[in-house]
Amino acid sequence: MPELDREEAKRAAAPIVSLAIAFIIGGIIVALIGKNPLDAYISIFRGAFEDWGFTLFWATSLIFSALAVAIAFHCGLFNIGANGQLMMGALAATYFSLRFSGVPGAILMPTVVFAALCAGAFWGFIPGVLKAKRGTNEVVVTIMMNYIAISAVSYALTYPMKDPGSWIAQSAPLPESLLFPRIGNTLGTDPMVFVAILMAVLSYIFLWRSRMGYELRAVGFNQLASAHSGIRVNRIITLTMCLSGAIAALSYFNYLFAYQYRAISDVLVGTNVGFDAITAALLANNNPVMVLLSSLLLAILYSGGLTAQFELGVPSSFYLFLEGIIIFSMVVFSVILGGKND
Amino acid sequence: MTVNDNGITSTSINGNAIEFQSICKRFGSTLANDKVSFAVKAGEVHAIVGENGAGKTTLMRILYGLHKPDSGTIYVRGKEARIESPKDAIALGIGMVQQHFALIKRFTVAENIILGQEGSKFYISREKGNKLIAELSRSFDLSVDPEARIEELSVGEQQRVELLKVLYRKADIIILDEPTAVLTPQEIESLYATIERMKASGKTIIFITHKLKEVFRVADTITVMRGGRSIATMSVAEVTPQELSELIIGKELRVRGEQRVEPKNTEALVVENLVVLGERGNEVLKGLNLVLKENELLGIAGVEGNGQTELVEALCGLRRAVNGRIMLFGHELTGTPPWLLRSKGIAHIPEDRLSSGMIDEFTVYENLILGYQTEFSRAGLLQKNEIMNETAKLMDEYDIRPRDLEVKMKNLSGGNQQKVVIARELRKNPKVLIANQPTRGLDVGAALFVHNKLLEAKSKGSVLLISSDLDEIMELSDRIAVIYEGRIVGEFDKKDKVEDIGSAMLGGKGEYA
Repeated sequence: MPELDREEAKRAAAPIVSLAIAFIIGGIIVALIGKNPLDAYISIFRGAFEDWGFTLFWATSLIFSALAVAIAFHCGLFNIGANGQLMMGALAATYFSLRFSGVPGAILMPTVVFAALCAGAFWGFIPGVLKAKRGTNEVVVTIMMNYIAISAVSYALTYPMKDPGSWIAQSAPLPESLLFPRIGNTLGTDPMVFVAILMAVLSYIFLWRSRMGYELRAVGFNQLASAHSGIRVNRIITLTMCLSGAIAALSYFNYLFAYQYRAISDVLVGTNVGFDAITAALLANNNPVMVLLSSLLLAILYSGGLTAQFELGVPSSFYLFLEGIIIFSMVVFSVILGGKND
Repeated sequence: MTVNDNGITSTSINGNAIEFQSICKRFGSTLANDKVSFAVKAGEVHAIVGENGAGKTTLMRILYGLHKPDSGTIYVRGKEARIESPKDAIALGIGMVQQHFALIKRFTVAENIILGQEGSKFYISREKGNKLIAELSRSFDLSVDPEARIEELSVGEQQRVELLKVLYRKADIIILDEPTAVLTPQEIESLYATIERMKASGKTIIFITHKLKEVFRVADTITVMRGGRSIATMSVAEVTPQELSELIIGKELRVRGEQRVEPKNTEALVVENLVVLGERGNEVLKGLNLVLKENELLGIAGVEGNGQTELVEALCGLRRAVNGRIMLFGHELTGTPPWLLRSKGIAHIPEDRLSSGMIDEFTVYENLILGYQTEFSRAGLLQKNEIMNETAKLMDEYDIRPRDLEVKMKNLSGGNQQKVVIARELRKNPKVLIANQPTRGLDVGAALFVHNKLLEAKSKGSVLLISSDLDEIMELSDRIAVIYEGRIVGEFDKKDKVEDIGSAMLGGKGEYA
């Protein structure tokens, strides 16, 4: 039994060690391009702190998608499609906001949220139901759904939903009644940050305290035993993907209602949050509460990375580099830990 | 009984192949081996018996150099031996076939056997190796194709490869760690034959098991281990099975035969003309009929692979019936999905608890509510207090150890895992319990516990027992049905002769030995 405890300890240590490895290798690379690694890291953390609003804004967006990925992971599903799901959520939110702009905000906002959740859920439902009924690999399907989402968003914002008065592909400005307040008008202080924290706590409760969370984890660990015990495995897989997609759909809300106040095609299509979310979920060992920390950390690296580029000329793609090493280390860890059975 | 007082110096043929003196080994807080002392005579089949966790495997791993003892001495052929690694053990002529095989799946049989024994560093003489392997297969009755890849072989065949590996390395002291646990009855028979041959060629065999039947079948000498100690060493002729099981468990235990409830005349479960397809679309059940009465324990005997698995899956709603019907107290059950069957009073102890009976990453309490999670939730939330109270009660009632609700299922011993499964399935007093190989892989004590629980379930409902262990079927059943090629081919009373049942199991051709 001591050996098993050690295994648990290793699992818990994996994120920290992976981060350390990423920072060390990252430091070496910085040194190789002739900069002082220590300066670079100081610059990153100071920059992220000084520009805390942007850091928080970025973390908020990331948390929703990371929770989506983490929940799917607990069911044994690898949802690579958070990016597509958040795009469809954003598109639905924009459409409903503009279509019913006359309706009072107190009624319209819940409708808009509901529409976004449905759109994200639908984008998760397709890979989910295909997996459940046909055994199709959800990784492949979600990747394809991402491309469909990109096309759908580009089309909608270039043609039917384009703001006629604008010369770029973007929607009309969203109705005033829907825009989120911000504390001291600082970016990142909109209500979505609190919704994100609440969502993490709810996800935690859902996974470990609710009946469906229990069934979802059972399916994730052992489908056969779940089926034997009467859990409706196919239904759980489909529902999990719907839920995952619905949560991801909220990722872009702060862009829409507290930052850009409209859907801009290039920004929405160019978002990478749904992929960064995989790193965040991995780093958090798929624990929803830890997702808050891992998302914040990635946001710090991203936002501070921009400062480091400005101050020291360390390329901002340094962030992608660190992210890559983190993923790589985590994967190596999981192979080492789970590699006993071939 | 042998007493080890002083160092043995004799190296004669009748001397000791192995002698353990006061071997101690501690893992954390548990003393796995506690002053173990006994001797294995050269040229004998020496069985080491004991319950799971008695320290048998630890001792053998010490002998094979996989663990280092904390104290104590091992003598090999009379000489004190320092065995630091399996390499030392192999050099001393000791070979071990472990429970989990160490074979490379993508390599051929011959490659696996020669691996690490090529002789020259750069050149592997395939022909020489193949020739030697063929000779060994012939002389020890270990038929296996040297050119086959391991991944194409059955578990039994893989075990033969492991044995060939040991023989190829010229081991003359051969340790077999629970070799029959993974084998079918036919493969067990052929393993016995191989053991006979190895013995005849002068090899010493150490055979670890917890099945008494096997001990009396193959062993010359028996050492009983209990709680890390060697309790007794004796010749097979000196002991009866009853005495031996008492030594193993440490107290007298018997199936509570006297209080058995007589079956009523009501038909609890009726299966009519059931046709079910297998994985490859072939008819596996070809019109099976069977009646289970209230308070009856009906044993389904048969050689594995005659449709037992498919019958159970059909009864549990996991496999569709192409034809025929299943009735429970006169109500049609055919086509009812698994999640509804539970509420109708059907419970199921699956054949393979690891893959389909439990979730090893879940805690004990999570496993105890598996399938009953709805009962323990309100407004979609699990009621943890209720769950904890109920499962603590079950853990007491079923003596599940360690007494820790939060421990992960994978950290329990096989016997305790099975207790969790049984506790869960019997908790609601099912009308019909389907028990499929409920004691497979369990030691004597745990198996007995399960048997008593099955009889208890029968007194409250009825039980369909599917087992490849004919002794188990004979001991527990009120009536025995024999399944062969997807049909029930014969029904027997418990007073009928075993030979007749055995003959029916083989399709009535009377080949049962």
